[in-house]
Amino acid sequence: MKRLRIQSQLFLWFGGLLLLTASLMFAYQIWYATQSQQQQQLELNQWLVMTFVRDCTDSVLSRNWALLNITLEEMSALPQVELVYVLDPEGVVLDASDEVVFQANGLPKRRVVGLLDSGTVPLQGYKAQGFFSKKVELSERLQLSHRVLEPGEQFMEISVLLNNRGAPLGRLMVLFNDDFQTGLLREEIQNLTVMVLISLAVSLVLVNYLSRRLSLPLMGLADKISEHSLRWQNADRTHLVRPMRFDPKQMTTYEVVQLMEAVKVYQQTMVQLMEERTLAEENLEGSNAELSQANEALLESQKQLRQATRLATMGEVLGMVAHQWRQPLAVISTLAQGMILKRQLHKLSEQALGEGLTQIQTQTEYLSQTIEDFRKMLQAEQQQQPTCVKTVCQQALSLMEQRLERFQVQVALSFEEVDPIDSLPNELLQVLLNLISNAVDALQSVPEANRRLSFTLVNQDTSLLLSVADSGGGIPNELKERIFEPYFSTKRDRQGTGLGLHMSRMIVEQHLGGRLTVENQDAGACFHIQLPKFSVDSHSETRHG
Amino acid sequence: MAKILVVEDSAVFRDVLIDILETLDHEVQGVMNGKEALTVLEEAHPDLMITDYIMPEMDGEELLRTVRGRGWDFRVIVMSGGADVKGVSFKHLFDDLAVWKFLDKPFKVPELMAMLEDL
Repeated sequence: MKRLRIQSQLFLWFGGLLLLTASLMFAYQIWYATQSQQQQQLELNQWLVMTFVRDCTDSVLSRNWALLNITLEEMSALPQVELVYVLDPEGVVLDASDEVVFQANGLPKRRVVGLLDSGTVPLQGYKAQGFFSKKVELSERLQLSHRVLEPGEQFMEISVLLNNRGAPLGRLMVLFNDDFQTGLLREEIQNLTVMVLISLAVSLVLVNYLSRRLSLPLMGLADKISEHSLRWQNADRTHLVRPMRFDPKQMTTYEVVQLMEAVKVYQQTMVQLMEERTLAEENLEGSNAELSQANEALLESQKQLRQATRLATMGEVLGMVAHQWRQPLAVISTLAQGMILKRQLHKLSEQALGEGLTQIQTQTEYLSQTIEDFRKMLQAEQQQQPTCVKTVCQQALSLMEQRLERFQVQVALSFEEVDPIDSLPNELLQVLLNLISNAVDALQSVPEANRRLSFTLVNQDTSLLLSVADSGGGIPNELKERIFEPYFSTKRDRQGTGLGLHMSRMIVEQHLGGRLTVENQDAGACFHIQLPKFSVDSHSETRHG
Repeated sequence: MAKILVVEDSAVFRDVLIDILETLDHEVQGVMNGKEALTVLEEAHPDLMITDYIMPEMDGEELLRTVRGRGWDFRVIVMSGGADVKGVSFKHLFDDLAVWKFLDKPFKVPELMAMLEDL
């Protein structure tokens, strides 16, 4: 069976309902019109009769039959009047509008009443005023002068009592036809029919519009769900929503039911998804808490690393101080002991004493200078200031002078004129000391003649590049990034803490805003320190920010 | 009274050490590195050689290997600017080189005197 579109179905349902209502209303209107027409007709006829009652009464009272005849003729001339006659109190016909009827049929005059009496129905009327109205049906054929009344035809008979101050004079009988009433009724029914047809047509147009209006949102909904379910199908979630593939404009009720099913599944899916989401959110909260814990742990370990780095820096500096001090301390100690020995042996001359003390004085000044240099380096000055890279390089080389000389390292310098950088005074110095110290360690593994360390400072657009290259054999490629990791050291068996290069990179990248990288060149490693130039703007921002 | 050769790159320290040894009536000669020491040793052998460990040109270890390689068997004291200055002891390097004594700088003069008395 072909299924009807939802729009057609709506149209049929609404239209049918409308037709049924219209038919019922139409039938009621016709019934009501019939009833009211009959009543109006009765009243009109009774009023007509009333207008002739006085003339008839006068005529009968004065026994002026000519006048009575004229009156009756006048009455029968009315289109709705078929027959008029007057009876005396005995029921004998005094006069009639159509005398011919009685003569032709050869009937006694009083029989007329009996003829019309058969099959009568009393009508509501002005009985109290002497009217008596009834509906009569003709039982026989009746030949009148102007027309023939056929058996079965219905008429309205109205009779009224003629009297003279209460004394009965006779009775006026009028037989009305139904034509006038039927004509009026027919006209009314025609009008009603036209009205009903017009309103039915308008209503059907409205119903059509309404069914479209009602079905359109439904189609839109179906369209969306269909589209959505297709998309879900493409996303391979077919198990969740049944795909709906139909043209919403051609949708039938069956498909609406399908749609409802789909929406139900859809709703269940949504609930399921919401539950999944809630679960995921709970998990996320858990993960967040874990993340936060991990973050705290990370911050703690960073703090520890910073502490370790600081200690390592101090350790390195201490090592450098120890190294710088060892030789002069040895000189002072031995010199003093030598003088003590000489005095014990009485061999200490004034000149030797003077020379010895001068030498001790010189050595202690050197010690003092060394400790002052390192103290300055460790001093925690918090204010950043324009720093000359060249000066810092020279300072570092000066601090490491003893070691460089001791291991016969040839130092080459190539400095371009560069702008200053923005730095805490000793941060770059720490980095350079670390790089030089590492280089000297590496250079010990190559013959003295090949121990070279070079410093190159080059001006670039917005930055400057300081390269520290040694000839110590370089770094294995696989370790080039690892050497910057904390606690990673290739000198574990000696004095390496594994924090020097990590600390250096941290200073260059986090404090100086630059980059520290390494590559292998020719005979060894080359560390590049790229540093942004000092600018007044950035400086004031740093200071006030 | 012994013949002693001092090999030390620091002129100040070398002079101080020579002064002490001379005060103790020893015959002392000083050179500043291993190469100069070998030149001197070509001429004559001392009773004792006191050498620094880390020196330019030729360090103490290389000098000692050359000396022992040539079959010279005089006594040797090795000095260092701290035995653990580089984190490890270097003394094992001399296991096969017949080093007589080690001295850590700065050392106590009586300690040196005691060694000299054992000569």
